[in-house]
Amino acid sequence: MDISLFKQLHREGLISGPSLNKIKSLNRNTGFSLHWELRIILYLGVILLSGGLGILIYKNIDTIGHQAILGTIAAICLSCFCYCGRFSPGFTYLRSASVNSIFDYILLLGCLSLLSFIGYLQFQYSVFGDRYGLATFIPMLCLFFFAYFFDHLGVLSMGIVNLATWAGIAATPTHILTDNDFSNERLIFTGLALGFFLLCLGYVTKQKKLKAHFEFTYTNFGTHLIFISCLAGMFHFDSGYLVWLALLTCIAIFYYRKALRESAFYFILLLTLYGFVGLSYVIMKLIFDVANMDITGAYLSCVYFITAAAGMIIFLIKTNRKFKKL
Amino acid sequence: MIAFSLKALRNKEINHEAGPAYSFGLITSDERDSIKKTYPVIFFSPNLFISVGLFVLTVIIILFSVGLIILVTDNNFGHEFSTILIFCSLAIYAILEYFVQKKKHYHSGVDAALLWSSGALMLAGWNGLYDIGPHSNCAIILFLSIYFIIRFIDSAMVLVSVSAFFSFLFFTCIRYGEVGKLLFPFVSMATAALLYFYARYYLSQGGHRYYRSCMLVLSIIGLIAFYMSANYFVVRELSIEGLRLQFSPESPLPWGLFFWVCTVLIPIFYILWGVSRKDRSLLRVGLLLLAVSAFTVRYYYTIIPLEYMMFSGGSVLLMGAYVLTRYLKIPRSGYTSLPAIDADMDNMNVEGLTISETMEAAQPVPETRFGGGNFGGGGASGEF
Repeated sequence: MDISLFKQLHREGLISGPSLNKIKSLNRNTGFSLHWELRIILYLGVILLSGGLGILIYKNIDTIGHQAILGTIAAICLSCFCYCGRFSPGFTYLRSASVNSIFDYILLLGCLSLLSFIGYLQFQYSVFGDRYGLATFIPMLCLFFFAYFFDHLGVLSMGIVNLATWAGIAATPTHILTDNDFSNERLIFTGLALGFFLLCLGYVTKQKKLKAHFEFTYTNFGTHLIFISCLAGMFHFDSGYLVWLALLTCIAIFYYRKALRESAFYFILLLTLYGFVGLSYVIMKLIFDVANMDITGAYLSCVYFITAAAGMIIFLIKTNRKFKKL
Repeated sequence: MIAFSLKALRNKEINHEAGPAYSFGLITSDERDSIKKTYPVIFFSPNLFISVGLFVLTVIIILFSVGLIILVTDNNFGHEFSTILIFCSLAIYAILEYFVQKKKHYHSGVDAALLWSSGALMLAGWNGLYDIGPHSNCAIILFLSIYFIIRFIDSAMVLVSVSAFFSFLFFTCIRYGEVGKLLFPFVSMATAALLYFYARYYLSQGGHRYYRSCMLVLSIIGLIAFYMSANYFVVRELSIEGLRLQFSPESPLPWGLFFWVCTVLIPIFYILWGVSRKDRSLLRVGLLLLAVSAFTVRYYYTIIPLEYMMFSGGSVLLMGAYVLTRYLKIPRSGYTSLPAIDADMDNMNVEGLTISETMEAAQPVPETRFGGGNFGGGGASGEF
């Protein structure tokens, strides 16, 4: 903080003596925090360690015995969870005080090796037989359990991704668009249902105050899933695009109200951009497919994009003003 | 020269300082309100997410407006086309001035979109009209970006500006034959160091300075450019590809040992210097470049197989961070591993997303038996 600025404000009589002293003492007392730097190093450490372990096993699968590999993974996994169990502050429905960064990342390492363990069991011994659903369902349950018990947002996100995998969708942020075949009708409806389910989970989480700070993670995944599935439905079903547009509008209105309640700028941005894509698709379809225009259509679509984007800009600016007043 | 009113900028900065002071409970709400009343903020600078939306939408408007104009004029992509682009660029610049001066937009997304597209269209138009070589192109980009930085305080433009400057240096050095080519890494190191120290000098000056954000970016780019000028891989590839120096791929690079020493020592030096000066940007750049150095060494020398390196490297990082976190639990000589007072929940959400993105452990997939990198994320990607 700029002490000289606050000194000047004090001289002008805008802030009182005690306040100025508070600011001065804060500037003296706070140390140089290495918190996030250390966290990034821990993150890299965990990712390298588990990645290296994975390749090591993969390459040497014929030379080391299966029991030895399983034993090693189990040992890492158990020691991680023992550590976490020992230092855990105990379960609470509120946000539990973070023990420290080490705790968070040891837990993550434990969860990663647990997943490897289960995966390996299924690969080598097919413990779940042909019930592949079960083989993703059980790790998912474990992840959710650990996320709630030890209060870890990263593990929760992994759990949600696992839930989506179980339902047949790749939900990692960058893979959601590339790894899914959205011309598959089943996938579109699964996506919609899962998105809706996650939204409900988020809602219940917040209303019942069951780890209320988990709400954003649920809602965020749910929102993207629901919007993308809805747009995919619009692109896929040739005839019913107006129905999908109606659905998209309903979702957008729902989010607008939700964002208004919580003054969440993030959701306003999402609904504007996804809504814009959907609306533009329908208008283009109307111009080029239904009305069958050619060069006039090109002019019209340019005019449409300019006016629609301008309209959205005005909407964003007005909403911003509305939020600032709240 | 600055397009914004200086008094308004000053007021914005005062409120910018008072905001956190209020949320940490250092000043009362009455005090904050009276500061707000005495130093009113007249700018329109919306929330970050809103400005991202405004940026995207403005870019869409510009693209389709230019498209519409091209459609209407119906030409065959000749000189006339380039003239239209330059005309569009000037028109967009006029709109930019209008939004900044009349509508008081300040880093709202709208101004950034107008500014960047105006610059890009101008450059495209010039290149269409005249046959400009890369050397002059760099000069034009440098001139335009410096103008935009000075007038609109756009810190992202600093990146363009510095890149153009280094490219300009590169093309100048080439003109002086073999000696120039050999000297380029040293010229570029010296330039980067000068830029860095100038930025630091600017930032260390007290009082109100309008270009703080730009200079912070400049100092970070200066550090990275200094390292990149001496990075063995960069120097070698640049010598082979760009400068067409006459030496076979097997033969060592002239001054090779010097560049190896720099590649290894500069990141370590940055980290130590950053810690001792308590300079966060120096420290973070150092950590980032340490990873780059690890990849550089790995590229030329395979001392141990990748998986052993990942395994042992990961263990060392974990151990080191473990020891340091434990040791600094109690603040020691001004260092602490506890979060700073302004650490907030947003960071945790970002971290959670990153974890879900990069840490996919083994999934028992029916058909593919261990297809691809099913175990773990496969290594540190460039995400940090």
